[in-house]
Amino acid sequence: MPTESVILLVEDDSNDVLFMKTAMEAVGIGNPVHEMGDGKQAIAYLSGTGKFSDRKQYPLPYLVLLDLKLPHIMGLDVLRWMREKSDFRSTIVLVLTASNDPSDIDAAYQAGANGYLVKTSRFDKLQVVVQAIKDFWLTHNRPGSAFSEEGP
Amino acid sequence: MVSAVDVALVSGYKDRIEELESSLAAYRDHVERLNSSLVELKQERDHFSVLFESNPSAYVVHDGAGFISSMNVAAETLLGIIPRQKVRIALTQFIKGENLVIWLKQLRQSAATRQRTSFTLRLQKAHGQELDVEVVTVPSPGSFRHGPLRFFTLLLDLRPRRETEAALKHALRDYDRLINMVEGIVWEADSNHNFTFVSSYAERLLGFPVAEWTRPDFWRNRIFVEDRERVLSELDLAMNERRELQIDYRVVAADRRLVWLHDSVNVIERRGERKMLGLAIDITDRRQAEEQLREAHFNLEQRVADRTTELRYTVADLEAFSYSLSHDMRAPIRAMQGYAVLLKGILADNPGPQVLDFLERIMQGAERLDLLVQDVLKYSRLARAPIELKPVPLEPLLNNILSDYPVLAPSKARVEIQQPLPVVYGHEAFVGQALSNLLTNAVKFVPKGKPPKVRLWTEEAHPESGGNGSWVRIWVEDNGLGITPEDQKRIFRMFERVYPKEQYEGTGMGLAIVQKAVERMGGHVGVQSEPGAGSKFWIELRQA
Repeated sequence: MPTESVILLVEDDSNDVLFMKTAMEAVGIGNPVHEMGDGKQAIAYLSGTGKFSDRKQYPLPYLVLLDLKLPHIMGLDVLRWMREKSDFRSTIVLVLTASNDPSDIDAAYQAGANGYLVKTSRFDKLQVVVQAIKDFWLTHNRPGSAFSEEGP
Repeated sequence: MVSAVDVALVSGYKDRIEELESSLAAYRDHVERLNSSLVELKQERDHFSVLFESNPSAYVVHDGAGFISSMNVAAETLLGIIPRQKVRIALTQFIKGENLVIWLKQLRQSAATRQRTSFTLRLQKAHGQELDVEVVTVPSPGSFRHGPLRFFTLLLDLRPRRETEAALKHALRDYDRLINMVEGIVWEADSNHNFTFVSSYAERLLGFPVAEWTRPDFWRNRIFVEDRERVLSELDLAMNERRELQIDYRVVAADRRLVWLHDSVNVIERRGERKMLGLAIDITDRRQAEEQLREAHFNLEQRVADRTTELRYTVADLEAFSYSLSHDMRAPIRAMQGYAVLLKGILADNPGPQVLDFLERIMQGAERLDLLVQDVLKYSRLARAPIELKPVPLEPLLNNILSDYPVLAPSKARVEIQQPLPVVYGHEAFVGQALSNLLTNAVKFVPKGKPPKVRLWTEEAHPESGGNGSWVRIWVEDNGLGITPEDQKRIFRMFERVYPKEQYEGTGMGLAIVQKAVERMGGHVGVQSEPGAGSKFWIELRQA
């Protein structure tokens, strides 16, 4: 897994962004992380509109960490939008949310999520989760050809 | 010697004799005919005599001075005469004073005019008793060549007629009284809707004097204008078709009150003329009650609709609330927790005297709050999630619970489960939630230092509200602190705790969740316990 592959963190809560980045740092994830404060911005990034048209500065992400409850466009709608576009059909999307409601979990998988992780109130547990992401998705997992072609 | 003259004479005599003989025969025939006529007449006379004698009406035949030539048995009885008295009797003997003068005068008049006369008078019978009669006298038809003018007189006893009249009068009076007793207007009307009679209740009910009711167009103008056309056309229709009619309508009383009437109408025909008979009853109270009932019904429906809407809003609010709980409310808790950890990391090298302790307390508080939020969420989800009841085998379910919860591990507690376990009818996630809460509770509330011991077994149950089918009671017994009877009443409610949270962690939601889950599956929960002697919790579910 190339360490320069971009991670898109779609999260509106700045505290959670800080914790996530701290945990990533703590477990040694060095990939560039682009923070998207809402669903609209995330779609703009993915479709390369406005400033995001500069793919050098804003390359397509290898991994998307997606919160469900977001301003403007909800996480699930971002996910559905992605799965309708051939470019993002195989992009790895991990839902990271506070809800462990079975209906939210089912809806996320139906919309095409690759994983569903529940935010925990304990920082040490978050660190364990982020470590697992690093070990599986960023280390052992082999991405689809769509990304390999575009990636370095 | 016979001469020719002689011969002629003899022949002349012979002729004469023959002539006489044939005349005689004719006479004989005539006499015979007369005789047979006489027999017929006699027979006829006998018939009339029988008719006359057997007639129940009293007949007397008399002359112009009242002397009786014959009378029938009925007349003898009426006058009180000994049957077939040979003494000559005159009718005048039985008529007294002025009546006699009038009657004799009438007799003379009748003889002159040949007209019948009729006269009501008081007779004095043979033995003095008085009797009112009508005397009808007819002069005999044609003139009698022999004897004086005769009269035929009929004596009509007026008593039976008077009695009938009196009885009729009584009956009418009773009938009248009865009609006026009826709590309704008894009425009779002609084809123009005009009353020919109303009972006295009419005045009592509407306040118009009875005399006014029979005036033309009285009723038409009393019927409430909105009902008038309908009522009059219905009445006309009933009249034309000669059928009964039941009709409700309003009339305006003298004091302008609207009165509801229920009118039952009958159409009768008398001497070719149709008229209506009816009974109108005041149903204003009933109508008002019906109206109120309708209103109440409407209000009730309105209220049900309002409540349903309210409830729908409440459910929507609840859903929004639990959505917010799961997504938003836990974020600040995570922030508290996270920053405390980060601070602890920064200060780890050089902590102040109490800093680490305080940070630890912030973290614990945040964690407890998060658990609480999650439990409330669990409870609200349990209360509203749609469930489908299916057979749930208890054995694999319990094995999963035992391996999922570290506090139930053999190193921490002795959990004894009595095999074999039945299959219950429920929702797997709910049964699992209820049993895991009971088991983790059982090992939690144990005096410090005492090894927790839990026993789970099942038995057949017979709940009062169980209906048909078999039930299973699942018992969970612990060796814990036990619960006082007062506390047993409240432990199944939300946020209720028996033991201090400083010593025993928990949100106070565990048993409320158990109860809600079991309730949703149609089952029951309960507890048997004594302080210091452990507790026995149970849940009852249908056996599959």
